[in-house]
Amino acid sequence: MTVILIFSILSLFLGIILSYIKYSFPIKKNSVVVAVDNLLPQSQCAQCGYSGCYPYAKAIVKDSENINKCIPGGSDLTFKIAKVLNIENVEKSLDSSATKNEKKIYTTVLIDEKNCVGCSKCASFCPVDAIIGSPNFMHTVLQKFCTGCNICLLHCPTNCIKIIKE
Amino acid sequence: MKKKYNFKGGIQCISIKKDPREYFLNYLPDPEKFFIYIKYSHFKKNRLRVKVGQEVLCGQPLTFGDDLIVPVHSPTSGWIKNIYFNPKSSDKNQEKIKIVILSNHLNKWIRLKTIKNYKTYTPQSLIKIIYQSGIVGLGGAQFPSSKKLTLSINKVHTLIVNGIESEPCMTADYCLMQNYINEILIGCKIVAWISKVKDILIVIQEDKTELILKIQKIIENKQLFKLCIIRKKYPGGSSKILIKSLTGKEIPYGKHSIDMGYLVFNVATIYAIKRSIINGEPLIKRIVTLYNKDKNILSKNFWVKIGTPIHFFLNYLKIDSNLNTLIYSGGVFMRYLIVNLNYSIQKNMNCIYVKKNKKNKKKIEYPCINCGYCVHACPVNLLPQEMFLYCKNSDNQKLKQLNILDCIECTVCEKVCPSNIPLVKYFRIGKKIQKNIDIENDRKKLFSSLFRKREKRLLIEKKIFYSKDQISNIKKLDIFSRTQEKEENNSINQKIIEKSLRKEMLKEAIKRAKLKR
Repeated sequence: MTVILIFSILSLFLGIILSYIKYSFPIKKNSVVVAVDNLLPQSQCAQCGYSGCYPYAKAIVKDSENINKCIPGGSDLTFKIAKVLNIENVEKSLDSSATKNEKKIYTTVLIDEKNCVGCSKCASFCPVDAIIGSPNFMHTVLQKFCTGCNICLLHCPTNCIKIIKE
Repeated sequence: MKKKYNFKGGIQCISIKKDPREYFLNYLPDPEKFFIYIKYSHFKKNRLRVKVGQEVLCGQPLTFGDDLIVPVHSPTSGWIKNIYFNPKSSDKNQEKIKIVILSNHLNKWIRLKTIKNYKTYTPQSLIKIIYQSGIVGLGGAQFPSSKKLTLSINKVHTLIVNGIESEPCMTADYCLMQNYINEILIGCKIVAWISKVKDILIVIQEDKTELILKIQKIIENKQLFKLCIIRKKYPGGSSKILIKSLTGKEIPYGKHSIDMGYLVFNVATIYAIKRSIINGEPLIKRIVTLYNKDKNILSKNFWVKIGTPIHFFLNYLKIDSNLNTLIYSGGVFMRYLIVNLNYSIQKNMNCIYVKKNKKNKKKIEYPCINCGYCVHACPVNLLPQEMFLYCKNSDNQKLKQLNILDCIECTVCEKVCPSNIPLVKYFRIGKKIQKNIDIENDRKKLFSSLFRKREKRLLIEKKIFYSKDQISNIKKLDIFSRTQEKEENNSINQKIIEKSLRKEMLKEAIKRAKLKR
């Protein structure tokens, strides 16, 4: 009888301590969002409709967004996210979408420096700050940091940006 | 007798060479055409210095070189016939340029700048000379020596001179040491002066008794030098195994021997450094062993100019290169098949191995029986048997735990295996996949960090743009906190709506009560 009493009191104390710790030091990052964010390709291409990969991961977890919107990831990524989130019947939803699992080719972007007029539109839209240059001067791409998202192609008024293989 | 150093695993092999003629150096005549291949990638531009039709002299640099790529020199005097660009290469990032040089058989040299007293120069200027004479590691890795030396300044305490050839048929380094030992010792002193080394260890295998006695005589009175003898075993030439057997320390993955304080150089590289600094010659020739398996007499050592086509080399020795013969670069264990005979001798080729093609014997691959011979033979303490299992099932996480990237592809496990499994072939595929995964993860980390930095920057810009009393609004502009804000707003709105509904209900009820009266 005394043994049971001692252990029950001990467990009560431990429970109180644990709950106090959880109250005072809360976990700031949502671990599921981070796990999904790590799976995404991080090219920040904004083809899913969100401004980057982290907002999309957040939308998947919190707003129950469709998981097949990432185009560079393909259907391979959809399966991986489904495994993390424990979603069944992924194949049904895969049939409806047009995502294909193509072989990955890394591309970057090159500015034809002769034709660049220095409008600095591309630099302001680049999601990773890979384009440098000041207004009315020639712009260049830092090849090391370019993710190949091709956002800058749409905003160039002189069509001087080309896609090249890495 | 001195202590003999040993290492775990490996195979003992019988030395085949007996013929004293092997150890003499032979010379090749100049071929008519030289083919020089240059690594070329889009981002690290190895710019050309010559045009088609231009006359070149012996030792004239053909390219400018980059931070990581050393310049390439012309092996002969003549004129440039053609330059081919080959963008369709199997390598992802390295396109190859092929330069064809017609020689005029005169061998006119450019003016060489000789240095008599190297101690009057600073280490940086000596390293610059080494870089400009295009010296790379001649052991096989082709890492630029100048880069290695710049990294090693004020970091290393011992220089290890690697004179080991673990492959049983190769004698190129032995031959070099036999003939040019004095020049090699001068080269050691130069390297020691550049990187401020306290000891120099010369490592030789035990079966080369003549050479050991010869070196011992020279070294006797010198305090800097020390001679180490290693047991005759395959593989011993790799720098990781060498340091482990000499000192007992293991180099962890991702670190170089320089971080541990040891600088490892091949004998041929040190000879090339001496020639470049004291004689001013750039690296345009090296010693190549030719080993013919069927006729043991024919194995000899040759001074070969880099860029000599392989078919010329074989024609001069009267070896017919038809379909019945297989030609490899490398020795018995580590070898690569040469398919294109127009390919020329590169800086990292130290042996050419000719073998007859036997069609009758075809090795059958039996299933693995878990005998564990490969585990005992592995010199770097890996588990080839388990790695093979996970390679077949493509379990990449388990492969990373077993440290597949530490494998040095020595093919010892393959030779030992009783069921003829081509283990290294599987490991190469596994290593490639593992490297790709690592690159992908690095990319992801870099890009996500860049994206976060940009978000922060935009936030700061907006803070400057807005006035001070509007700071409370700025929080809403951050994308990461925006969604949270939305949720809170929604819940507040809902509460307000509910309250207003209740008020209306109450008002209506009061009205009805008034009407009843």
